[in-house]
Amino acid sequence: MELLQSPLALVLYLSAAVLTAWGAARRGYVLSFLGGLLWGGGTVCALVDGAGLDGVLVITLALLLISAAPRRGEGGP
Amino acid sequence: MSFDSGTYLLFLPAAVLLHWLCPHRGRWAVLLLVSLLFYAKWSVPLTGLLLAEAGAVWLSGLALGHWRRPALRRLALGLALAVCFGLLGHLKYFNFLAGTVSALLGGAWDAWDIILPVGCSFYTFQAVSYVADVYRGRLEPERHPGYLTLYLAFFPQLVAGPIERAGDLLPQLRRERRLGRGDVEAGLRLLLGGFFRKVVVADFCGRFVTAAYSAPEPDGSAVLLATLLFAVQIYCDFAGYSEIAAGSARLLGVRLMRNFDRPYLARGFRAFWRRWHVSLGRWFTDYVYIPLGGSMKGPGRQLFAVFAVFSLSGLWHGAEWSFVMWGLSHGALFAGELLARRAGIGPAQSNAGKGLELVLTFTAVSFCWIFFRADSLGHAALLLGRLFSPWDIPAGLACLGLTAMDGIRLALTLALLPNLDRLGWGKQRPQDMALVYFFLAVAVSWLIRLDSGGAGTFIYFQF
Repeated sequence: MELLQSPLALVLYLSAAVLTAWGAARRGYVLSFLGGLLWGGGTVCALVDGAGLDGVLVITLALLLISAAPRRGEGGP
Repeated sequence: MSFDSGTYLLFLPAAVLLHWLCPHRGRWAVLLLVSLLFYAKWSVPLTGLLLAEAGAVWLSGLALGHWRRPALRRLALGLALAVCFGLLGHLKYFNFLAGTVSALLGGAWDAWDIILPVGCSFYTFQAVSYVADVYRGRLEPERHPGYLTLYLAFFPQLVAGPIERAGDLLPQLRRERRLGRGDVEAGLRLLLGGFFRKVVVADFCGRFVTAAYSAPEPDGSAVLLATLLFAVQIYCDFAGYSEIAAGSARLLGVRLMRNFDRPYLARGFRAFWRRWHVSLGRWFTDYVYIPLGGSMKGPGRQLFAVFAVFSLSGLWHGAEWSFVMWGLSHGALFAGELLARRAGIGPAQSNAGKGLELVLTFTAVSFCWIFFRADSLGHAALLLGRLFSPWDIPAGLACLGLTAMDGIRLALTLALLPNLDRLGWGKQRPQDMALVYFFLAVAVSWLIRLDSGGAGTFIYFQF
């Protein structure tokens, strides 16, 4: 929970989540990539503010979950 | 060298590059050379043992191709099996058998210092399947010693399978291969999925499993949670290994079989074993179950064959009675299902019934993992005793060392598991940004592992 000590990182990560979800829903890859860039910015801020890699990983997994969920019409494996 | 080592990340691109730069005629030599280097990283003398076994199998194959008299053919088969099983028996089971006999006679066995070569059980089973197939006339003997050695030593599947059949792998190694864009993409996706399973999921779950299973008196709730996590760990560890193997081979233009097909979605134990470690299941079916009569000689003979297969399968995994117990418990579940089907019970038709079958199968399989993960039968008995004692859940969570952050990470990784099958084996690839996040998650997990000084190893390497 060290991420809470870095408000800027949190804001960037939240924005990344919104853009990633939006991009995934609309299959807009530009939006998703913008979300990825915000992930990068958030990670830099989090690490500079002393957050651990565990928190960064949790955020990464959450963004992965948002972007990897199958859309309607996409079958399973 | 291990797939999850930094060395492999340098070795694989170099091997792939060398292979494709070489003209077709010399590729077998390049692949054999890099495979032997890959294995020699563990031990040079044990590489000699692998070559000796390959030589024996090659000679017996030639003899089987040449001799027509049944007695001579049986002799060639028997000699090859004696070499293969003799080596495996001495290296893996000598101390176990001697210790058991000593214990029965009331003495103590001072174990010999015998090193078990990595992957010995896997390449021995491949060697046996080759000789048996040539003996049965299903396969022409391979006359080129280089190709036969490569079949046994092909580095992607040398250490922990899949246990490929010569009829599938040798033609692929022999034909002129071309690298297509589809091969590169599929190979990289399999590699990414395999590394994700191993580094992000299996190693993380393993932390809590080790904490509970190494505690002297773990709480029952800790045993339960650790056993469920071990079910996830061993699946992701071995399926991850198999995917890295398949991905590495695909970059060389070779397709390996799918060794795991979402086994925890199986409804019933027969279905489970058609999805879990598929190559080993097929090996036991073809070379033990069917020769023992299979389902063709009555229910009694079939039950005998089932228990023979599962006890041998347990013993194959490790020279410990706990592994035999694990095999027998699966044998009992499998036999129970056979008898239930004969009595006209199941399979379920309603959705609720199907869901219940799935949950029951997963629960029973997870329960059996206790024997697999425990250090010995005594340890398994202790864990079972704790499991059925009154629980102190806060003490159990403290024993596991599970924090709130760990809980969130665990929930996220478990939620991602279905996507891993789409990543590695699905026809439709996940969207580009998901691929980037898969890669980033692996990279961050690898950094965490380096930071903590821990280096994971694949569970199945010990077999």
